[in-house]
Amino acid sequence: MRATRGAELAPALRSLTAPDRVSTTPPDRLAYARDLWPRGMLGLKTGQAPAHPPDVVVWPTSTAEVQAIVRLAVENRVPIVPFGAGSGVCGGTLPLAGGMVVDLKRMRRLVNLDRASLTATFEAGILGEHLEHELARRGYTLGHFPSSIMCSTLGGWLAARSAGQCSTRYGKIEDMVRSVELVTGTGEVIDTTGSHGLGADFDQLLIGSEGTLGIFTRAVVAIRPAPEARILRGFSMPRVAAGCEAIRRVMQRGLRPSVVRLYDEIDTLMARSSAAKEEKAAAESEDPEERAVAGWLGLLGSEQGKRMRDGLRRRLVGAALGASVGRMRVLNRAADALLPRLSGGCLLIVGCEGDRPLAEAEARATFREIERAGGKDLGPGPGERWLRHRYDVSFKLSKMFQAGAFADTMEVAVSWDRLLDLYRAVREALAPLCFVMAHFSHAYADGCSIYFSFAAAAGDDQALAEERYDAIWRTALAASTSVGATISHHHGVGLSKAAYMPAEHGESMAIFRALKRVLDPHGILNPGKMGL
Amino acid sequence: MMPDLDASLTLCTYCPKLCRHTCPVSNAEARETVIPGAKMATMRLARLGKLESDVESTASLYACTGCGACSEVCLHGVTPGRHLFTGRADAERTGHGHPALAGLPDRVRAHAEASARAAREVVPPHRFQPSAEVALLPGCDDPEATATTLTVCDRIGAEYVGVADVSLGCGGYPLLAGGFPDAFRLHAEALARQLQGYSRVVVPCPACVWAMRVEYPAHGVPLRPEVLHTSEFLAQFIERLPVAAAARPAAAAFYHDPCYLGRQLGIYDAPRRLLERAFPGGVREFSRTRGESECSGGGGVLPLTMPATADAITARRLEEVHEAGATEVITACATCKRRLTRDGVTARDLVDVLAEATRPA
Repeated sequence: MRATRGAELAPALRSLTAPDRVSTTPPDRLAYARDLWPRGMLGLKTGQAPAHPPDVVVWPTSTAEVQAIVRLAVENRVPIVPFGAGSGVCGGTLPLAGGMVVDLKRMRRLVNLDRASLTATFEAGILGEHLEHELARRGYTLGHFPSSIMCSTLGGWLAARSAGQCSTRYGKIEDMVRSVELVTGTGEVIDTTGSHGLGADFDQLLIGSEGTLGIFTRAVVAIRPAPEARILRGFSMPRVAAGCEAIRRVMQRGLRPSVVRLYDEIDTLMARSSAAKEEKAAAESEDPEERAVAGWLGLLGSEQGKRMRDGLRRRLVGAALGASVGRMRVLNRAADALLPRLSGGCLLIVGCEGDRPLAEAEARATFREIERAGGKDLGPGPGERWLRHRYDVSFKLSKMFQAGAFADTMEVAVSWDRLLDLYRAVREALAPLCFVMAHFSHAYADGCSIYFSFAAAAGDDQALAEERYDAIWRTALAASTSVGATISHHHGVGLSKAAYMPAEHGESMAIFRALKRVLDPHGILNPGKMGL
Repeated sequence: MMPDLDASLTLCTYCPKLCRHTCPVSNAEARETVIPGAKMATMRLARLGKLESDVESTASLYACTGCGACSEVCLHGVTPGRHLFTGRADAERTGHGHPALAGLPDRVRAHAEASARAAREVVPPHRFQPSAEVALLPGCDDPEATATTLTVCDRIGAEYVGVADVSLGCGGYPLLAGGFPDAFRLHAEALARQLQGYSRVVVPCPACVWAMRVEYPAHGVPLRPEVLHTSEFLAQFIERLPVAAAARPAAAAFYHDPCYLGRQLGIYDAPRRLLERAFPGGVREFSRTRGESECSGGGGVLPLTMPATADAITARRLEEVHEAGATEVITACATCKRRLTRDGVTARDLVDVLAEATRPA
């Protein structure tokens, strides 16, 4: 592997940190040359070496070390990519220009727990699961549960404006932050503690900057007592539109359930299929509630209906794994035509949590609104099942790749008046290209996010797979922006959506560029990302 | 069904790092190169012939304690720890084994023989029996434990328990973990021959219990006696143990689940039941316990290949002990006991506690 200028800084980095916290070895450089951007994973099949390894990797243990590293990089005009756990799906941590990767994971302490103010100070490199564990064992929660919680860090959350599964109640990460500490591209430390209540909100200027304005080193976050009660419920909604209407009513009434997830007919079919495998026993149960769930799962009812549903699911998955592009459109259309009749509706998972009396009152009001919108109560079973398996879906990614396909997700958001337009536009545009399904989550009073999942065959031709992957994304984002949706809700921009930033932000992009000139005048921080 | 090696390597290569938070090496090093998925991806590349042929490139295969924490959360049922031992064997065969393990088979044999000899110094000769219903296998990490276990057996009315008359005081686990399957098989065959005369063998080391129960058959080595861990055997006599009086502060000591006893063999309750009965005040649980228990850093020959990392893992495990102001950890593994005795903390083996509890007044 080619030695580059960044590697020449290794001795200096070792003296700034420690000999065992700097590496220029090929295995370490390769390990930091990829994140979880699915396009980058296409090359794994043949063992292709990644295109952009960093020259050197360094693991600081303090803010002072991060400062010193940045100053060294400035002096030598060497690029820096801040790195958490590399779970980003947009290529945001790829070292496009080589240089240094600064891995923050050795900065992982719980620095302070303020029980009176209900805040906690963490260093930025702590893994999400570890952060929540540290709080949980002391009786608290952050309330932030992204599906990447096992493999993402607090710093990564801040960098990409992460959202968790309970965002409807607790907010996104930017809503949980009380102050941040960040090292800029000049090596200065910005600590926003105490700067609130007047003037601009500097936290919000920095959060979401994806390592282009600075390196997050710690943050103070708001915490809550672990919820005393959690009430989960499943509803069957007749169609996607009814489900969206139910969520809109709930949110606009001022209710804040912790979990709101509406699965479209195809996603519901998949959910029912995997639930059915686990819960066949429910069909034989004497308990009427379990029987109700079993009925919804399709374990009861006519054999013909069950066979048709199962056949359709198999064909859809099979199509994703191997169908020609031409057949994909036919299959997606068939699914659209058949599913409303076969799927038995769309699954809506709702949960309320907190102090018991408040959670119970909120749940009553929430469930009532959903029923008014046509929801059929399936009892707690589907919700509790969702809670047990809420991170399982990520395991399917490796199964897809193993089967010779690829999969990715696109999370976009729009106001309520255009939500169904967005759903239809993206599905219609992608129908010829891939298997696509969606769920609606992260709801607000004024709009909602849609999480599209798509899968397509990759074949053995990597170039063709990349071409197909790119075409899917181009098409999906064109459809999404055509109805005025965002290009991302919580996965960030990184490399894959960088070209869309000017259109997304318009005049505000000039402010972002101005900030970049002030905070990173030499342009060393995460070059090539976010359209800067 | 557990995926085979090739499927496992592919699944881990594409996995979005879903077990990384459990890996003790990864948590200690904070290095992407040593998360379970990356280690398995490295092994896959090696098998595809796409890895540089050098010791540096295969180094990450040794960054694993075999603790099984990653497997505990893997919905695919992949066992990276076990597969990485195979990866080490591949590396060894191609001349890229870890330098710190050079000559390991000779060292293990010498250590196992020394352990067996050491047991003879602390156990009366008449307790060594060429054949018996139940015999203790001398442990390699703590020869004193053989005598202590025998004492406990005597006090609870199991005087018939003897000590296996063997020349090897080790089941051979380090050979397997180090990537020496042939030496492991030879060791297993030798020990299996020496254990022919016993119906049940009680083994103090959880890793060797696992090796003898699972890996001997997998390597084509039949073993006549049933293999039990000390805690399993003693739990059969629980009614004969005195009930502890709660004379000391409640929950003053933490109980540490040895990885091979817990995750690999599924033995969580036997030591707890024994301690509940015999240890005054009971034990305190770590916040990560049973299947989630964190490793002490002693498995997978990590103390040989990455000693500083092994120490960092141990320090991490002890953080909660220090935070609680405690100074004592009880475990059921000589390796864990040795690892966790540091920085003002004393670790004791379960049999030490039981010996104290059964001591005549």
